[in-house]
Amino acid sequence: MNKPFVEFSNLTIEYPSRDGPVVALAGVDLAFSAGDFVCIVGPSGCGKTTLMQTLAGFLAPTRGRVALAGKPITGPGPDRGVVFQQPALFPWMTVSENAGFGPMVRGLRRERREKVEYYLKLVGLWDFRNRYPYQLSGGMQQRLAIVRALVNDPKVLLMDEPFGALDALTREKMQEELHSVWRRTSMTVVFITHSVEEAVYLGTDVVVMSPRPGRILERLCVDFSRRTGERDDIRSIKASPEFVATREHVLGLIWASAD
Amino acid sequence: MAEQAAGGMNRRTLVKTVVLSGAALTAGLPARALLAAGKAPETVRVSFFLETKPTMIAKGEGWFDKLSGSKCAWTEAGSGAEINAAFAGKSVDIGLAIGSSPTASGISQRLPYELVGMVDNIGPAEEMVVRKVANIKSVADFKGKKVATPFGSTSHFRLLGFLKVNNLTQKDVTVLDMKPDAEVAAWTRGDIDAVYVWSPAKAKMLEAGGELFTTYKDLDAKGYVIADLIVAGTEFSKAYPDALTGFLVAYRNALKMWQTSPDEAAAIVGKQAGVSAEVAKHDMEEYDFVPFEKQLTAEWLGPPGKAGKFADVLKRTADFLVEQKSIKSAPDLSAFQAATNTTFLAQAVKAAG
Amino acid sequence: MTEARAITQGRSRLPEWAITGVSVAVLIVAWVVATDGGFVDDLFMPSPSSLWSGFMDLVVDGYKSRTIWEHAGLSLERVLAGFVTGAIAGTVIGLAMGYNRVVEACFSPFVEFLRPLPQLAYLVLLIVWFGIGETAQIILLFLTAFPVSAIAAMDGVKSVSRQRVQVARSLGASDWQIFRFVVFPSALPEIFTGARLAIGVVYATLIAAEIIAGSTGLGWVILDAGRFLRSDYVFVGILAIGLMGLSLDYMLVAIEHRIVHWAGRY
Repeated sequence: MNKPFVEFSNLTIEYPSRDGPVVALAGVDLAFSAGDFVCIVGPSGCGKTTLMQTLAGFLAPTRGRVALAGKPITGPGPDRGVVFQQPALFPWMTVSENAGFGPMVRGLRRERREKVEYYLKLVGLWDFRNRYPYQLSGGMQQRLAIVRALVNDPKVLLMDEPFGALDALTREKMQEELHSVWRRTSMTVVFITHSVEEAVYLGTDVVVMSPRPGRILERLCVDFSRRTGERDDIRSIKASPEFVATREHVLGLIWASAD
Repeated sequence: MAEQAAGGMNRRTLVKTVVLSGAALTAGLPARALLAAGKAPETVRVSFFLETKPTMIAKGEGWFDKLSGSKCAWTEAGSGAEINAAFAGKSVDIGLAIGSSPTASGISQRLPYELVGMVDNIGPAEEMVVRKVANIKSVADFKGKKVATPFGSTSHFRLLGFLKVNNLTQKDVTVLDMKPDAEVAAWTRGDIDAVYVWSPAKAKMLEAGGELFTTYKDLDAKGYVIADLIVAGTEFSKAYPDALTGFLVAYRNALKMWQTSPDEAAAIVGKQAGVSAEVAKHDMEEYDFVPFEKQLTAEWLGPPGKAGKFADVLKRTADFLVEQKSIKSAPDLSAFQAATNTTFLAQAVKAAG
Repeated sequence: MTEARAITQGRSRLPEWAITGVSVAVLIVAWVVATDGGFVDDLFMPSPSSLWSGFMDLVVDGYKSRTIWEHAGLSLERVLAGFVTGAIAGTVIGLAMGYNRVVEACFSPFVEFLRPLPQLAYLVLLIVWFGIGETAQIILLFLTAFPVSAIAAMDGVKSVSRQRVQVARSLGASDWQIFRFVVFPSALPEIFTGARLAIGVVYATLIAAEIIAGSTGLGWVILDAGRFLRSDYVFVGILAIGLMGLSLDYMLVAIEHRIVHWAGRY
């Protein structure tokens, strides 16, 4: 932690509104290292999406600063891939065109072919490469959205409730897939979710936020995700007393802050 | 008819009227005759042109209403074709100053109206105007030129007559269909070389580098007479002969005023048409407003029961329109004679004394 | 309730084309009965036989110095010239308006003003400015198609999903690439809708255009035949114009389905 990879310092975001400025984030300080899997949880209105939008470069800080590898963020860039709750695919492009969008616009033709093939095969979409997004199921669409971000080789993957719109079974499978990709690449992930269980299970760090104004309540370091990636173990990990205790602790924080 | 009266009626009367009209139709009687309570209808629906003619005196001074004993409902028409369409739809009683060529086409298509009088013999009032710079001095000079006229009008008929009489075809001369205001616009740009039209468009183009190319004398002599007429729906004239006679008397009085005190007449006409008295006077001087007595001679409409030469003009006009493929067929001369009914004109002369 | 309805619907389910066919057939039978039965005068509604003879007349002898095909061809040329130029220019300006508020502020007063303006109102001005040739007619049709396409394209750009733009930007796309690969394709469905609307209004304006200095075109044929109450020619003209419009619309729909096959399916 002596050399933070991502750093928010005294970050304040205010929106203008009819009743004067609304403070979405009030003096947030947060830093983490390369390779961390940071899960951000909190009730609606706690500013977690705002936090991500600032890191992505879609929003400029009102006060304070956000830096990546020591450099302040001035706008969106290919070093930070984003995945939203809605896949936001390009419906006029085929699966492989969607997947290769990043290298395509950056003029990296050879990388494009190799990476697209690698990742589409990895998530089981290779056979669908010439289909259009509307011909895929919801889970496949979200997988493609993640592939599209990964193909571009980002340093940080920003995910805003990426599995929020999926059914429970698909969701767990996706968690597994994401997890195995993360382990393989040792990429930094910032993962926003409503589900405390998801956050505690996936994260190396769980950041709990409280609303109005958005600020950080607590940051926990957890290591369930590092223990194992074996499929058989998911249920036992999630049922272990340690996991349950951590989950209940985080839930308790959120309940208290929402009052 | 029923739909006209409906405006001032409540629903029950309307229903009654419709039922009565239906009954009348089945009985083979004109609905109007059956409904006629008094001698004059409540309203007379007149389709007219806003123009500089003595008819505007009788309209402006309310003589038409007074002498027909009814309230006249005026609808301005854009062309004779519109008046014909209104008669086909039975939504008009009198067509005032409709041109002879739409009238010939209307009678050919058995529209339910008859020719009851004449407003004017058009004569030189509609004429060819040629652009001075186009250097058109003789008939042969028209070759390759562009001539515009409002299609379906009396001017159009005259122009086509002019081409035919002079053995010109529409391959020699480009004939364009343009409304008077569009003609003035195109004339200003120099897009057209000649126009066949009436005033005020005619006057405007004469001012803007145009000169007259006189055709009417030759054409009138060869039977291409054009005139503005008064037609009345046959149901209307049967049901309200007195109202129709009164209407004609009103026009006759207006004509008299134009003949006896032209300045006063021109002032009223100018006010009605929205032009100065001088312009109105000048316009009216170009027309030959044939007196009623003369209309009743064999030269024009003829006495009641014995149609005059004008029926021949209508027949020739209709034949020409058939040749032009404007109408399907033209009936025999007898149909045009039968459609000429000068009973009311004669009554009007008698009434005025 | 829903189930019951679903069942009855299922039982009496006729294909749509059959329903359309029946409705057209009923109309034709009613027409034959009304006209050949003598209930309606020929002036109001020509009988099928007189319509047919009117049609043959127009095909064999033509109408006033030109064949009906020439009239139809000239109308089609004008419609296509006015529509294609108007739709392309409108789309380009509309895209720019949707993309850039300065451009929108510059053009929107003209586009908004032009759109509801009745063409007959400025017909004389067009003659004064552009003369009586084809130019004035095509410009009139252009001015009709232009605002419709511009507004559709602008709305299309404005309805682009913000998240797609954000994704593209964070993948490294430049402004031009975002326009080319995200904004423009997003707007395509609306551009097509605009094109179909535009061809409709261009068609409706054809008669006004051909008034300018007539004697050619289906619109003028209808107008001129109407002056003499030649309802047979008027009907033939209307049918011809209607069928031409319908085929153009079908062609546009076919192109639309090919190009924006994904529209409404994501």
